[in-house]
Amino acid sequence: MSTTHPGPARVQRSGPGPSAVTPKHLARAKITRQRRGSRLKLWAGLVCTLVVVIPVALARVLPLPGPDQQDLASRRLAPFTDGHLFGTDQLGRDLLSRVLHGGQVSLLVGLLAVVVSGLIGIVLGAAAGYFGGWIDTVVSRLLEAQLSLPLLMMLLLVVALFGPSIPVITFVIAIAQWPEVARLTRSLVLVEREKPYVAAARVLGLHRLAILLRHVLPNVVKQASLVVLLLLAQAVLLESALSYLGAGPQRPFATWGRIISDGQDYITTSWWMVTLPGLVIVALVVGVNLLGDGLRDRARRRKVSTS
Amino acid sequence: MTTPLLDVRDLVVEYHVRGGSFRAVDTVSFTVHKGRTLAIVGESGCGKSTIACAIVRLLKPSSGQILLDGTDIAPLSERRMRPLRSRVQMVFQDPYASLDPHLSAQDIVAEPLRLRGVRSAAERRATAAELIDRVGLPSSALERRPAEFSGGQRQRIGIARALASSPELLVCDEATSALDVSVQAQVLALLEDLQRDTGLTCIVISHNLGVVRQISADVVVMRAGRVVESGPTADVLAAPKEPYTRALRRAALDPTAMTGRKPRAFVTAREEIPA
Amino acid sequence: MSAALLDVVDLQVELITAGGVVRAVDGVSFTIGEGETVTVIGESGSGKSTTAMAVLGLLPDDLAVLSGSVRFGDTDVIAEPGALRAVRGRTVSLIPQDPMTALSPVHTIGRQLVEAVRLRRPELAKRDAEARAVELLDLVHVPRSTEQLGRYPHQLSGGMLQRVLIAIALAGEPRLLVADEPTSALDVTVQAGILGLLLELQESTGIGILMITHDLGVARLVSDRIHVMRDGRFVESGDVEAVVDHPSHEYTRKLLSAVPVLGPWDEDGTAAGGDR
Repeated sequence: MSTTHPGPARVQRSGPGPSAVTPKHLARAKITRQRRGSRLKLWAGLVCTLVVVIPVALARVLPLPGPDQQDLASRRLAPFTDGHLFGTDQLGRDLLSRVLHGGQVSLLVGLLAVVVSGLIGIVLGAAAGYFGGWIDTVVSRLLEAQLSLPLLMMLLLVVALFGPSIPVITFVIAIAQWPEVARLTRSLVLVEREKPYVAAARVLGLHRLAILLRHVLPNVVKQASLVVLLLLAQAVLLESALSYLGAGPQRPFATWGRIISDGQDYITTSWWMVTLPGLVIVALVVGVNLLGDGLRDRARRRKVSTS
Repeated sequence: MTTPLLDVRDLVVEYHVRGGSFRAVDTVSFTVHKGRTLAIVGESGCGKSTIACAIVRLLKPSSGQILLDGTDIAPLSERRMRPLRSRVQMVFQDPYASLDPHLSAQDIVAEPLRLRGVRSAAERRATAAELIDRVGLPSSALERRPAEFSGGQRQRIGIARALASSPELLVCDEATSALDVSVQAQVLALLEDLQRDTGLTCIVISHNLGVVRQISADVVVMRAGRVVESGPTADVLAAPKEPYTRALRRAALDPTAMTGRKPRAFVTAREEIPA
Repeated sequence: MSAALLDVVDLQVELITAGGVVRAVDGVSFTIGEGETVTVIGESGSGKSTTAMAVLGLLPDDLAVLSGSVRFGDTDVIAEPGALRAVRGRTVSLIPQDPMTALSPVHTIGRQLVEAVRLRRPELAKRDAEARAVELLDLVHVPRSTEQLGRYPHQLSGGMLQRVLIAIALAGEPRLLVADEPTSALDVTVQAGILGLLLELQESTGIGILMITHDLGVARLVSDRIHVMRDGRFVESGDVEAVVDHPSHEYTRKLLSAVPVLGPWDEDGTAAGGDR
């Protein structure tokens, strides 16, 4: 600590002595580093997510050939040839167009699945945590049962039984994901319900269900919904995995998993057919995770600073 | 004398722990008359907070009676108790966790009014604003959330919320022990005001003899779940009879009453107090 | 008076927080001599604990910026932070605020105490270090001291744990104790025992004590001098009797008037006898 000369720091209350805080101190302060870290996460996450989501959302508007428009004369063109940014596949279809249109299905299924699993998870988790007793027993056993089953096998079985339509696949992914939300919500509610404001509401004469809905849930829903955001990436991955295994939405829907699955026969001769859709999935998953992480850091810091 | 507002008879509260049960409150009896204030004083683990929770029926006593204006509320189920709840209200110890963090001060204070059947939202908001003014907070406080208030201000909101139910009995469970001494003085002054102006009946749970002397006429001293000594506060503090009360009184340090310099020893360790 | 154990001059602590730079301690000066208790009293947010932590060098580098001087004898630990390691535990020790969480729950009292003894005297054999540990427990009046060595923190009451922590603080044979609200987590009758112990230790060993408290009663009982702190500055300083009995600053008066009065009482129990 050799620098004690006065520096141009912001000081809230001016005292008689000059401030000893130098810009160097400020730069290496924990709070500065934390803030810089979470800002970096937020921005990187936002950029990665938007780079994928915006083109996917605009797929129909962009000047691209149709995703199913075959041109057998220009099969397996490398990226950047003849105006095909991502190249073409074995039937001469524009790969970028397929990835973007396929993304619409993949993202839609992911979003729907996350909303459904979020709802199921929050409702069951909150009920288990708040009421305890037999409700908690049932929900907890369900959570454990779900953990002990080979998940992908189960999902394939359900799809095989009910057919690979979009509602079935959405539901299947939601079933795979609700335990995470439920477990988190349950533990948050367990903490929250012991707080004196819940006792205060009881003393006022509120019904138990009213306390849960009016006081407990609003205080946990924010944290629970951040986890739901993280699950979005997982849902997209899961949908791709199902598609890859042939249990995804059927043709003509070109989902990400199916594009990769179709392209893997050509991986030695046409690397882009697998690699580029793969990179798009990576960008989205990493982006959404960083975004969720950054938001959670920020929420946590705010909580610390107010308590 | 008339029937007391609260008559606690042979109250027993047992907690079930692994391998048996633990008697937190052991055959405790006392009465509180309308318009009076009773303090229950003791150290941690003496059962005073458990009694508070039993009176507001946050827990169900194992045996004994809690007669509120002649009605025994001790055995009532949650459903039967609910209509009576507005009559007994509580101010909690922890100013930071006893208010719902996502509601505004006005919503917090207005909630009991809805339970009392005030249908019009405008009327509820107006009454809440009056109560918030009554506990000494500015009107700018109405829209703010608990996190934006200091500890003392939060306790004021907690008091306003309790008053919104128009209770006959107010239980203050260590309501000032988390506050700085100067803030504690202000909150105590507010409680004294309310007692004087509205004739509110209070039970004050505290570990602090000074607080007890300031705001309560009568006192019950507790230790290990039992009543050690009780009577008018002034008498009990001026001439405590039981050894434990004397030890408490000696250990309570009143800076203005001390004379002389740093003593060489000042020992009343717990081990030396006869049980 | 002999050379001061601790000499603090114009200590200033600035904390780099999310809301900007906050000057938590704003140029305070005080000294503590042998056998003296000096108390810093203030309400929450006054900067009293930050002062203690700064003196001990326990504030994280990336949070706090210190200036001024804190001298233990001839060593200024702000000018040469490297000297702190030599000072801490040997010249000065801390008695923490919450005894329930200050000890490791998975190790026995004995192991933690012996570790503290051996830090100071690495040359001691295990058996001798244990003997020293028992001696320390006896010094702080922990009953059945030999038995206690094998027990875990959760098996002891808060008052007993605070005594163990004082024993650990004394293991380094310090000349100064910093007691940060040592009794605020304890019941009053237990507090009385701990304060009595500190007074007794000071009487027998001449150790200096820096006491941090919010309780004027505690301050009045144990101090020689007190400093009333508010918003990072001392608003009033002086001899304990002078400050408490004849406060000159308005804030001190306000604090004193806020303390509920207990009134006179029959301390000797004559009234209970009933013949007067």
